[in-house]
Amino acid sequence: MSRGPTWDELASVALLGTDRAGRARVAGILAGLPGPAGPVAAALDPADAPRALLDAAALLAAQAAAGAGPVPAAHAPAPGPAAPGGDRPAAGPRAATALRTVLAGAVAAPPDELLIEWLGLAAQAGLVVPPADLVGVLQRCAASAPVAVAALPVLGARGAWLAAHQPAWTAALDGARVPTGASAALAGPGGPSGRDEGGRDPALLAEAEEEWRLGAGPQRRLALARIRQADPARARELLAEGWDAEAPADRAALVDVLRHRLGPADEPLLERALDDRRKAVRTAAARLLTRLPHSAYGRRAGERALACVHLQRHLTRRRIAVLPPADCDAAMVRDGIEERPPDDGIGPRAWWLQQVVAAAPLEAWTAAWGLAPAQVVALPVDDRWRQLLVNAWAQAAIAQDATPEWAAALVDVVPRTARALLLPLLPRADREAAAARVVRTASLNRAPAGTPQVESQVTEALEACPGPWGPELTAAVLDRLARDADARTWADHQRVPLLALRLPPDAVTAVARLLDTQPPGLPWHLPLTRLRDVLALRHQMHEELR
Amino acid sequence: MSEPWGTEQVLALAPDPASAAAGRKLASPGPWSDTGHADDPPAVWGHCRGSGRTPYETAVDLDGPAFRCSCPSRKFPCKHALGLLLLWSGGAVPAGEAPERVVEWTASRRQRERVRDERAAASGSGDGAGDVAGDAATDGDEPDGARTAASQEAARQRADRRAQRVASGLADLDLWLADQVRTGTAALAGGGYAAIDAMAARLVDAQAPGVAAALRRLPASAASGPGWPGRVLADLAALRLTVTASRALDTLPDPLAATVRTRIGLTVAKEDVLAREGVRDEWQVLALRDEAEDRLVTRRVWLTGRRTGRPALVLSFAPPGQPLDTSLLPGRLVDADLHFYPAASPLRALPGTRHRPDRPLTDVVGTTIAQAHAALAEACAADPWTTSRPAVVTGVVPVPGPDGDRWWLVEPGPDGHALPLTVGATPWTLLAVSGGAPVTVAVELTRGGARPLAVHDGTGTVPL
Repeated sequence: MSRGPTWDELASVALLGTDRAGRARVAGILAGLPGPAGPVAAALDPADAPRALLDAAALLAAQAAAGAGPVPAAHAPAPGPAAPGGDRPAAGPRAATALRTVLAGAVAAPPDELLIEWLGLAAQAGLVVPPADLVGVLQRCAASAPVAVAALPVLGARGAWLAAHQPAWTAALDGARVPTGASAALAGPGGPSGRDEGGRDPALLAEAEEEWRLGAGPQRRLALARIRQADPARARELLAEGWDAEAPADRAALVDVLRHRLGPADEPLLERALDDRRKAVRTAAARLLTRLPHSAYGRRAGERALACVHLQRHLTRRRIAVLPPADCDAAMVRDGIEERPPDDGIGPRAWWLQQVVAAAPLEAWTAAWGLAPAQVVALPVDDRWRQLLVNAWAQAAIAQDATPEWAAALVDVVPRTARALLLPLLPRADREAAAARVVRTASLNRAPAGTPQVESQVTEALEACPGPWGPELTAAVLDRLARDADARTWADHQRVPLLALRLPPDAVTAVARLLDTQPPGLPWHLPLTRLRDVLALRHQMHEELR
Repeated sequence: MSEPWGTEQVLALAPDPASAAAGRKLASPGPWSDTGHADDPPAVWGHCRGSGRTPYETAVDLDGPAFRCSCPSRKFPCKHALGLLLLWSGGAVPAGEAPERVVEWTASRRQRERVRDERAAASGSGDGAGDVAGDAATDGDEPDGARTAASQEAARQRADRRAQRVASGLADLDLWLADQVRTGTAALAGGGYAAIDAMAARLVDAQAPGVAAALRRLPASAASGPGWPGRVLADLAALRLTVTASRALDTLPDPLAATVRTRIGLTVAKEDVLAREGVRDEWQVLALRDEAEDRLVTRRVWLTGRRTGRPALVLSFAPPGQPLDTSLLPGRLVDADLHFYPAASPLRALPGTRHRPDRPLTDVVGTTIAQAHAALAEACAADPWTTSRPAVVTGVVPVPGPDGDRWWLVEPGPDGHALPLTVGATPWTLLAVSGGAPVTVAVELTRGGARPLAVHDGTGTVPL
């Protein structure tokens, strides 16, 4: 804080040293000290220049400190507009305490997930984040996009107002406001599909079209994805207009943008893409066309498949007869069938058969044979072909976002890699029942205790079930936790964080009871303790945010 | 039945944030058994199942408080004691009869305390060898029994000897200061810190630790960026003022002389402070900060009187890992006597008699910026070494400085004033709680601007 020109003069003499500045300069300052300190300073002895200078400085500093007035408000920056009022009520003090525990990372669980759970519960309860905790939440929003998405509904007007003061916070919330479709459209199969219909903001759309026209590579693809989310027809038009001018290397990725909000109107453009010279483009187009069962492609693929796989009826008995394609003609290649088998020992005809079955709309089978999916899958078939058919159907089910009936018919018979992808297609109860079966079956496998394959099946099945788990799966998991020490595996330890987040919070009682029976000091005690702590915190959150 | 403590009061006991977090985790009934609490002796106890084979026996004597736990932790209090207190604070510990081990322990504690008090009373106030250490001091080295004329004479001689040592140390400092200004302070910014350290060590030897501490702040001023020569000059001038004032000590009015003694580092014994007349008020506990320095944690508690408007600062000390004083917690209103250390502009105080149980601080009495400013100016006039005063300003809007400039507290309206915050202070939580509307803010006024301490949102205190 400046104490005036005399002070600055004193400071520069001190910086230089009185020897160099000279006694005359010091004497000059002493004689001219302003205010009541003036006469006192004038009486100081300039012969002892260093001490006289320090004494003058002490006088001036005291005078400045004691005599300074407050700064008029006009000298400060003007306050901006206040936050708009009318926010919903803030979460109560106990809920805020739980929030602070989560923000402080005081429990052994991925803190983002717990924070997202707290934010979701607050949203359900119609509450907002207390103002005193907004900074902590906004900092986490800036670090994690999923947190920002979860926080958006509970920041309230106050939070939005506060975020506007910090570019990092503004950017995080803007990112959360952009429709999730842009990322969903680019995600692989099974990714989130169309969470909302937002993003109709014309300004944003115009900006995206600008980027589409002028941008390069991935930027254009993202822009197209945003337009697709807001206005599917417009995105199709834009893509069709410039299709022939697109660089061949970009076309496959651009076609794939149509995955999101796919509809019958996209068929002509996709058929056009089937004539592309590049295989990747044809495959991408074919993959999307399989999702349009009533398209010309769907009819072709269905007929081709039914020509190879027949239903034979003999009196009351039915069975499947298989006749793999004799060759791979041009029409098949155009529809995305690969001619050359991979080098894993599969013969060319089996390879074509698998692709033909996988490309056919699942509806083709049920419609042609008048059977339910479970009946189709249960039909007797030559052992040589059984696994190939099941795999191809599973592939079709995953690619076509199959109905729950198909997923349920296939989930218990497919290889485990496919099972993890089929589980999300099942309705919640069936999915958890299937996962519970996996957990219980694996738990019976006592010797050798949990082979790695079995253990990763359990983990994958559990990961496919979002929390909080229902009673059946919870019971299966708790039973497994209670197994004796010999049967416990490394994987059990590894899964504790997943369990902590997905078990229903009231499982805390059962876990605490289980913990009481465990001898302390053994390795299993610590993970169980952590599990109990996280569940206890979540229990508190759920209680306080009803 | 005594009220259980609040969560904040318990967590204020934690020796560090990790202990607080660990304590929170243990604050669920799961790991606990055989818990109970009683009023006579006032204690909480329980068994905590940890990672060991046998559960830990934990007990807290609420009068003190004092802690005992059979766990091997060196933290004090340990997480088990904190968890137990949090559990109790949440109402999850039943009342009961204290078990034998707890009764014995608390009784022997009381016995030891009585003995210590008696010995302390017998040995008098001593020469107050630093009230910093004095809080946890061992008993005085004087023998029990009444003071004889001989021992009084010895004490006077000791005081004389000390005065001589201080005077000679300050004379050296005076030479040193003059040398700095003669040759130019530019050398200080060049990293001449070794010379500062040597001078400071000389002053500690001369039993003038207060001056030594002031000297050790010089490197920070020298490294404080643009404008540093002015700040270094201010520090040097304040030191020179201490030297000149110490030579005129006998001619100064008592309060100012007391201030000079404090600057030098001559301390006043706690007993002597408590013997001074107390100032009764409803003290608003504004904020609390802990700072670790030199193997000692200093807890600062800022208060203002609701009726008198007087500011106060209560310091307490503990080695790291040891519990700090929790008798004054932010957001509480304490009806008590405060005994101020003698000074020209009294600020530091010790709490004395409490007249009523604490109440939550729901509304805070404060002043305008102009009034707060005037109070600081008045304090500076009475005590030219004044560096800071706590204050509560009401009806101010926090305004973030544009482009990362310093923040302000602004009184809306044509006649309003504004208070700059210290450089680098970015109290986003203050902004969040205010919502851009006028609020009541507790600050520490310094010559470099206001340091935000806490904001009151009409229902409670939010620390900043």
